Amino acid sequence: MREGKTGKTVRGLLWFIVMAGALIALLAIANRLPSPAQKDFARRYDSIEEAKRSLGFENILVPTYFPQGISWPPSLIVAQKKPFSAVVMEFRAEDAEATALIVIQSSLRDRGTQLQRIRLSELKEEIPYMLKGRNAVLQVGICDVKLPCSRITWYEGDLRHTILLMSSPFELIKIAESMIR
Amino acid sequence: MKTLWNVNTFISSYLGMYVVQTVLHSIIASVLVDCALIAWDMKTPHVKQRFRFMVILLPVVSFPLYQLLFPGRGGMYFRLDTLLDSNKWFLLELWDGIPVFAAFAVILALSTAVFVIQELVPIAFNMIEQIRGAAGPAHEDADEALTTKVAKALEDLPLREDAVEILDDDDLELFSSTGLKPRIYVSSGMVKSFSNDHLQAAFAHEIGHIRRSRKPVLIFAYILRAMMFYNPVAMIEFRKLVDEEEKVCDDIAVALTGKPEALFEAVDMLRPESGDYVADEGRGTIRGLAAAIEHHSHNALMKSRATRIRVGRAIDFQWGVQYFVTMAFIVGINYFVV
Repeated sequence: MREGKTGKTVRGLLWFIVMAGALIALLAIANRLPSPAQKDFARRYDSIEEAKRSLGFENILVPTYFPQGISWPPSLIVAQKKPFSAVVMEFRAEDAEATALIVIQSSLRDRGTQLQRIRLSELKEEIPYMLKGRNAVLQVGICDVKLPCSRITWYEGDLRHTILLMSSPFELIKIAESMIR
Repeated sequence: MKTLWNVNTFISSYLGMYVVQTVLHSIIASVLVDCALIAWDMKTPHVKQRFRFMVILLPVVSFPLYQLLFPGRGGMYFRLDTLLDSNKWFLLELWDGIPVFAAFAVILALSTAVFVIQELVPIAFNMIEQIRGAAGPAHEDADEALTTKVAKALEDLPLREDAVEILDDDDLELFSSTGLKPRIYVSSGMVKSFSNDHLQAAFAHEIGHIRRSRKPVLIFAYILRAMMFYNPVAMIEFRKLVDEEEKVCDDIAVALTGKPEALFEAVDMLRPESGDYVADEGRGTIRGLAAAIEHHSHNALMKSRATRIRVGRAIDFQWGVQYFVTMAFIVGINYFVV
C-alpha cells in the first residue's frame, strides 16, 4: 500500500515536471515572439558604432582616457531604447577576467539600480564635485564584489552619466573628464 | 510620444513592476497549481484550498522578496537573458502609438471596478445598515411548528437551539454569522419546504462554516486578495477558494449527520431554477450581465457540490511533498518572469 502511494507521488511528479516544462517552453516562446518587432529592447552589441546605428543614438559619450591596465574595446556593450534609453559599457582589467570599469548613460532618473551590475554597497565618502562646469557627485566606498571602488554621477541634458571604477577616485575623475569635450 | 513615455516611466518604476509582476506571477502560479492538482489527482477540497491559497499569497510577497534579495533582478542585465520580459509585449505599439500595456491597464481597471461594485460597496451598505440598526432578521413570533421542526433537526447536532433564528421569508435562505456568538439564520420558507433530514444536513453544513471560522484562512485570503484588487487572477482564485470552502463544509456536514443522500437532496433543492433568473431583466446592461454570470456560477457550484456528494468524497492522504514541489516551481519560474 505504501509503495502504491509512493508510486502515485512519483508518477504525479513526472507529470508535473512535464507540464511545468511545457509552461517554461511556452514562456520562452512568448519572450521571443515580439523580438522581430521590438529591436529597441536591451541586447548586446559588438561595438559602440553598431549600437549607435541600430538605436539611432547620436551622443554616446566614450572615454578617451583609460588608466593603465584597462583595455579597449569594452568587454560588454548593452544598449536599449525602451522602456528608457540606456547604454552600458563594461571594461576588463588586462590581467584579469573581472570587470574593472563600467560606464553608464541613461535617461532613467532613479538610483540606477536597474543598470548597475556591480553596486557600491558600502559608501565611505560622498562629495559634490565640479566636473568641467557640471555638478557631479563623487562617491568612494566598497563595491559588492568586495573591492574598493569609486563612482561619479552627473547629468548631461536628459541623460544621467555614471562611471564606476574599481580603484581610487583620481583615475575616475580623469576618465570622466576625458568624456567631456 | 507622451503616452508611451508615461507608460515607460510607470513600467520601469518599482510600483509599475510590482503591479505587472503580481498579475503575471498570479497567472503562472494559477497554471502551475492546476497542473499540480491534475498531476497528483488531488480532489480533497481542503487540500485544493491550500494549493489555491498559494496563488493568492505568493504573488503579493514574491516581488518585494526577490528585489530585496537580488536588487539587480528586473534590471537591464537581468532582462537580457530572462525567461519572459513582459516589457517586450507591453510596449508593442498597437495603433497610433498606443501600447499593448493600455489593454492590460483596461483589464486591471475592470477588475478594480468589479472589486469595488461586487465587494466593497455591498460591505459598506451592510455596515451602514448595521449602524442604523435596520438589520432585524429574526422572525420574533415564529410559528411554533417551525421552531419545533428546527429543534428536531438540531437534536443530534452540536448546536444550541437558540443559536438558530428563523427569518420571515418565503424564499429558501440559509446563512450563518460567525464570531463570539455564532448564529444560523434560516428562512421560514426553507423550514417549511425542507424535510427534517434536509434541514439537519443544511444546519450541519452551516455548523461546518462556524467551526471553520475559528481558523480564518478565508479572511486572510480576502485581505491578500483585497491588496491585489486590480488582479483578475486573484479575484478568480479567491472565488475558487470560497467554492472549495463550501465543499469542505459539505464534508463536515456528512461527517456530522452520516446522511450524504439528505445533503445531496438539500443542495439540489437549493439550486436555482431556470425561472429564478429572468433573462430579460436588465438585459444588455452591465448589471444584467453580472446577474447572469452570478446565476450561472451559483448554479454550476451547486451542481458540482451535489455531484461530488453523490459520487463520494476523495481523500488525499499525502500532499506535503506535492505542496512544496509546486511552491518551489512557482517561486523558481516566477523569479525569471519580469
